[in-house]
Amino acid sequence: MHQIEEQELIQQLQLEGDTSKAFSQLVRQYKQPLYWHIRGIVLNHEDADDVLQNVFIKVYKNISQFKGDSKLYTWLYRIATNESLTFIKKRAKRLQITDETLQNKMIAALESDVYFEGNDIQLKLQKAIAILPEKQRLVFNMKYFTEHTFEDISEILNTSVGGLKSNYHIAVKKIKEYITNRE
Amino acid sequence: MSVKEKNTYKQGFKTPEDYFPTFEKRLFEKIEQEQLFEKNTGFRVPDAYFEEMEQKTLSKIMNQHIKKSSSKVISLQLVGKIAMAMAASLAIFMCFQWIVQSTQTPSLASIQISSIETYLEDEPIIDNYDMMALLEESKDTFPEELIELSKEDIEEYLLNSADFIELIETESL
Repeated sequence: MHQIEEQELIQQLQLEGDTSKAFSQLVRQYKQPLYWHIRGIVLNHEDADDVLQNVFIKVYKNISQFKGDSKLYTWLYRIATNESLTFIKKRAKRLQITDETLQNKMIAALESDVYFEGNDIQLKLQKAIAILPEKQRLVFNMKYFTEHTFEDISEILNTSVGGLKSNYHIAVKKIKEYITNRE
Repeated sequence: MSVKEKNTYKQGFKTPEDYFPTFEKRLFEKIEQEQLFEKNTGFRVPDAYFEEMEQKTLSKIMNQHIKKSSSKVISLQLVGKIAMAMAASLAIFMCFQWIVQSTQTPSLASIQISSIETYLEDEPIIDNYDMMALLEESKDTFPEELIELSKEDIEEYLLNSADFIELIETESL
């Protein structure tokens, strides 16, 4: 979305009165990219759907507080990332297991998930991603699958570009090792 | 290649059919439900309640403050009353003691307190003359060792302790 279009959309969303038209436009614009970003973190479709709806509800309630310090796009991704991570942590806490154990359970469930149609390589890749620490996992997903720039990821995750590049390269190295060792 | 196709191809994930086309409808239904839920709790507040709430709260705080302050005064009055009661009890006790003592030594009963006060104010503290007279009068009752002082003892006493000016004045009389 162009800068001017984005600013117009924000202005319409922050107007007093009926903002449903502008909000519909926002949802239409971002539902797919945000869904795939969330799905990459929570893996399961039902969970991704829950989180995505919560993200948009949060946006709807807090759009008046958006000051325009960052791009709307990065603000939305930041909310989606936080909601996804919070969702996982809450579930791990509820099940009284660690985040890593839950990650392994999620990967195991993926094999029988009707909404996962990946081949062996893709399943192996998801397993490899699951062993990564949280930050590396996020950076890898955002860079490899959704092709964000490091500058955008830096704004979304509030981390330096240098740090992100380092995280990404370490993640790639670990994934390669995991896949080659299990071939 | 669309976002969906790209992600399905790369990650292996897919969504139910018509998930994205129906997403907005479901989302708005959820938002509406939430709003209705928030709106229809059944509770109402009086008109201008929130506008007046600040003033009411402040008034309440001020009233409580005043009540607290007045309760402190009451407590001080109570302390005063206790003190007065204690003083009265002490006075009664002292009077009782005085009556008991006065019955045991009737000679004191005849002396007015004002007379004692006048005596203490007017009469000087016992001086050397009185002391000498007293010693002279009670010579017989003093122990021998105190009366039979040696010359050396007297000289030593005079050198170390006596007030020579007073002694000279006494001699000169």
